Parts: sequence; structure tokens; C-alpha cells
Amino acid sequence: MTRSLAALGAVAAILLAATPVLAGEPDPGHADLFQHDPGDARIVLDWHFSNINYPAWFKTSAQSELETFWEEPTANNSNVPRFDNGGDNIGGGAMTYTVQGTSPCTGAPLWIGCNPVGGVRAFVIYVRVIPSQTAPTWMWYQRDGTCQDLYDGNPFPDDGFPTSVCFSVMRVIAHEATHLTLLRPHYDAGADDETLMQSRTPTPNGSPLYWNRRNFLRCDAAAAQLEYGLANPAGRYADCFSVVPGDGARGLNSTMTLTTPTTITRCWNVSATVAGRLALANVADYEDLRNTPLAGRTVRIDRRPANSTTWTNGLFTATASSSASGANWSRAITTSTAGTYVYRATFLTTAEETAVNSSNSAMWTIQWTTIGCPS
Amino acid sequence: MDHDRLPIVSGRRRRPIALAIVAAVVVGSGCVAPGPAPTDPPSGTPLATARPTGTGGSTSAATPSPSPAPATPVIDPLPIELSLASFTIVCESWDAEPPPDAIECDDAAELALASIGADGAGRVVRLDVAFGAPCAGTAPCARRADARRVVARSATFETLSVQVDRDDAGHLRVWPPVGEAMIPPAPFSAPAPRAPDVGPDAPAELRDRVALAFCGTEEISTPDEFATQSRRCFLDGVAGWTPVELISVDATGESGVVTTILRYDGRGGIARFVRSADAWSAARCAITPIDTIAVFVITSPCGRLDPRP
Repeated sequence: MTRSLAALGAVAAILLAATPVLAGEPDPGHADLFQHDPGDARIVLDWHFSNINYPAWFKTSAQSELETFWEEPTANNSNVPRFDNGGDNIGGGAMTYTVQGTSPCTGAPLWIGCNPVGGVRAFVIYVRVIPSQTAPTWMWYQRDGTCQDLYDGNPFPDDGFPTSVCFSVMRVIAHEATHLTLLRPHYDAGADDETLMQSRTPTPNGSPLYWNRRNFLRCDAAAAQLEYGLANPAGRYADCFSVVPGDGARGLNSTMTLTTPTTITRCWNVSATVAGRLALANVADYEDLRNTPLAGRTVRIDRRPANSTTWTNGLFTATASSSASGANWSRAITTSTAGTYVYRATFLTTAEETAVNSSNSAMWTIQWTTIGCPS
Repeated sequence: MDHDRLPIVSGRRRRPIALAIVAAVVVGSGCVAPGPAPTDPPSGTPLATARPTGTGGSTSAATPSPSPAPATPVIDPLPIELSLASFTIVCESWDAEPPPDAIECDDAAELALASIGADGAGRVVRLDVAFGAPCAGTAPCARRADARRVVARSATFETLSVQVDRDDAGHLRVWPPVGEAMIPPAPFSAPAPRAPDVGPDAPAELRDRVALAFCGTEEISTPDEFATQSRRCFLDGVAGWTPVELISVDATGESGVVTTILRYDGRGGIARFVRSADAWSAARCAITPIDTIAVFVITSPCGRLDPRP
């Protein structure tokens, strides 16, 4: 059903308002297909092969994909459900490798993998046997670890399939696992390096960088982080929040709050411990990312005399922890001179922190006194 | 009903730098265009003017560095408040899936603009982001995923290069801009302008669009059925700073026919309109040449466009 493209003669300027963003948006249409709220444990999906006699290369590839690459923490720092077959081959979802010439999900004649319904523990992921009678030119890269046809008489006997188009079964399984857990629609508008959720499965010719991608790309990861939260709050946020939530320049706002008093009086030769919380904004748009502690990030503490406007920056620093609530940073503040000083604590984003904006500053005052102090 | 149908289917010299106003040039059918001519430089504003030099956001006048390899990186460069989608960005491909420590094209572009400074960045129209640190003389550059060389050009083709790499701790850092010999656009033999009908439900921006040099319609009905010649034309148009258009109709995806219209206006990102599952979306993105029959892929950074119905 190829669209007819007739000539058009209209002339007009293209006037499109580009939103001031630096990256894309989390896969549109994402949802926590397995209900998950902040603080909930990560869901584990049991699974098995529908037939234990599938080719060894397929079983190895499928298991590696679901149980290792899928949850690789650098590419997928999210709590999206993970997969574990429990060391047996029973229960949970099913991985089915089928020679069926039409899609088991839709009946369509062109298919390579499918998942009929998301969000169910008794799921099925279908993968098509290729090459086969109904797809004689297609092949899986993982069968022989190459896109070369080794079964054309050299070096192995001719199997009768003149393969010429190569796909990654691991990318297809990653794609279907994303349908199962996160995203039912496709994301055809996503760029090559943003998502693996296009409706077309790429070949090495079409996407030399990502045709064999075995885990999320940046906007898949952003969607998973929104829906299921971070696996490791000290890890990276995906670089794909500039449109949604779209706060500030990088997409996600951080907030700095104090949990200790804003006015303190203390002997000049005794330290004062100040504490607070550094986290992402606690707003509904952030879904499971709301109030996520910015663990491992540096809190910079500046100081100025109460009667001055000049700050001394970075006099102290603290490192935020992963505490889910309450204070997640503290710092013993000291002075070498008495007097009243104003302090401020701020998180300043860095070049690596591509999704999180600098925080507001939380301020407090300490009156360092000499009266009644130990010598 | 989620299944994947097959794809059906991507001698440096320092110079003083001055800037100019953007001028789009549409070339006629079949002629070889040297690319758009530079416009008159305005009042001597250099491409690199003010850039951050220290913490606290202080700035100082900065002209291109006198040495090809600046001695120290820029400390805490101030981010530039410009959308990367407003620049033409050509990202070099790593050829295979890049390693985890690879510097993303958009990160390199953003840091390079910060190093150039706000005034100069406002006059940059094009960024070519390659892998590998700059090298002197004729020695081949070592190709490293954790180092980027960003070549920034103004509308008058004045050229700066900026190195972005990682320090020993793995943190990104950017170096001061270095003046380069002026690099004009590559010559391009532009096809005749056309703006084929892309359907009654297309957004107004497409229905009423200006006809650009038309590289063709790619109709994909079997995997890898790329229209290599048309795609090469489009990429060459981008290289030549010449407005071009390419249409791709892919009938193999699970979402039915996916129609993609790629338009390059001679400036800014590649406008990419996609019709999938009966809905249109649009963005301006970067382009990455690839050494396959697909010639290029569209890559991030992307800035979403909101097409009018």
C-alpha cells in the first residue's frame, strides 16, 4: 500500500517552532505495564522456553539477552522488570521460536518477532525461525556469529536458503521485552541512536551502530526510568528528558532542602553539623523519579560574612547518599574566627550530568560566638 | 499486537574570524553549486569572542588560541542557551556500537559551543563532530572514542576547531577554540526542485512547503532496499550547505507504511517528518554519514517540532 507521491507546486516557508531542547524525549506512550511505584521492589519475571529442543545458539542468545544484557546497569539504570528463569524451564512467560510464516500476534505475513500483550507474567515472546521456507533470504546473526551465509556449500552443505539479509535476534528480543514491560506503540520518530522501538528492525546496512543493540538506547532508558525509577541512584540519568519533563536546560530539576535549623548559634571552636536533602524534584510529572536522591553527587557549601555580599565558594563539600527520604547529606561546619556567617548549599550540575539541572541553594546562618566556650 | 515486520528498509592555519548573516541559496536544476556564498561580514565580530575562563562564570575576551593545541582546558564552561537543533550537526560514525566511554556527539557539540562562548556560538551555523583528538601537521589523528574534534563554522565559513575529551578520571573537558583555515562547503550538483504530495493529512508545513532540490523517493519493500543514489544526493546536499529533500516510504514496518520526509534548509538541523500509525511527528536532528548502502542515519541531538495540522 505504497503511497502515491504526486507533484505539488505550492510554495511557502516552513515555519516550525523548535522547542529549545538538546535531546529527544522518553519513548512516547510509555507506561508501567507492571504496576510499580517509588520504593517498590524490582519485579522479576520468570520465563521458560516453549521447547527445550530449540537450537543451542538461540537458547544461549535469548537467555543472555533477557538475563544479562537487558539489565546491564550502564545502559539500563532503571527498575524495569528483570528476567530470571529460576534455573529451571517451567513457569512464567514463554519464549517461542516458531517457523510460522504469519505473525502469531496479528496474522501479518511479514514478521520477525512479536509479543501479543504487555504487562502479564504469563507472557509470550515469539521469534521467527529464519531462514525458513517463508523467509528464505533472512538470517539471524547469532546463528553463526556472522552475517555471511555459511550454508551455501562453502564451508557447510547448502541448506537451500540464499540468505542475504541479517538481523540480530538479541535486539529483537530486547525490543519485544520492551513491548512487554514498557511501551506498546512503536516510536518511529525516534532517531537511530535514541530508541530500539522503531517498527522496522534494522540491518547492519541500515544501522551499523545499533542493529545488534542488546539494551536500551537513551530514550528507552529515560522512559523506563520515569516508569520504574532508578536501579542505582548514584548512576546516570538517561540523556533524554529535555522535552518530557522538560524542566530547565536538561530536563530534570533538582532540589536542595535543609533538615537542620536555618539559624544556629555555636561556639566558634565547636563544629556545627548541617544536614539536608538533595534529590530530584518531588512532582507528579517525574513519576517514579520524583524525590530520587541524587546519590554520589557533590553538595558545594559556600560562605559569606553576614555583612558582606561576597561569597567564598566551595569552602566545604558533602556527598549525597541514597537515602530514600529525609537528610541525605551532612557536613560538620567549622570556623577559625568568630562572627556571623551565611552559608549556602548547592548542587552544581556537570558536563556528565546531562539530564539534571543545578539545584536551588539552601541557606542558613551560623553565629559563631566566643561567649561561654571551652578553651 | 506488537510484532516487528521487517525492515525495509546511512594543514590548519589560524585566521582572524569575522561573521556574517545567514543566506540560503537554492541552486537550479543540474547545476554544480559551490554552496552558498558567504555574506558580508558584519562589523568584525569574531566567531570566538567571550568564553568562560573560570569558576563563578567570569568571562574574558578570547580569540582563537595562538597554538594548535591549547595548554589548558576551559574551566567550568558556561552552557550556551541555544538549541542544538538550530545548528547543522554532522556526527562522525564510530562504525560499530561505540564503547561506553565514547563521547556523545551532542555532548561534544554542547561543550564546544560553550568553549566558543555565547557571542561566537550565536554565529555558528554548522558543527562537524569527529572522533579523535586534533593532530598537528600531516600525522594521522589517532581515532579515539573518548576524544572528539568539533569543527564549528559560521555562515561566512570561518572555522574554529574545539577539542573535547576526558581527563584521567573520566570527566569530560573541553579546550579553547583554535582558529582554522576557512573551510567552504563542498560542491554539489543539485537536482531540480520538487515538493511531491505526501498526502492530505500531512501537516501544513509539508502541504505548503517550499520546493527544494529533490533527491528522490525511496520506496522500501524488502529489507536493505535503500535508494543509495538518492540518499547520497541528500547527504551531499547537506555537505554542500544546499537545501535538499528526500522522501522515504517504508512498507515493511509493523506500524504499516511509514513515510519519512527529510528536508535540509541549508541551515539548522535536518527536519524529519514521520508519518507512522496515521500520526505525524517532526523533529530537527543531526545526521551521521555511514559507510553502507544506506549512506546516512538521522541521529541525536534532536529538537522536537510541533507540526500544524
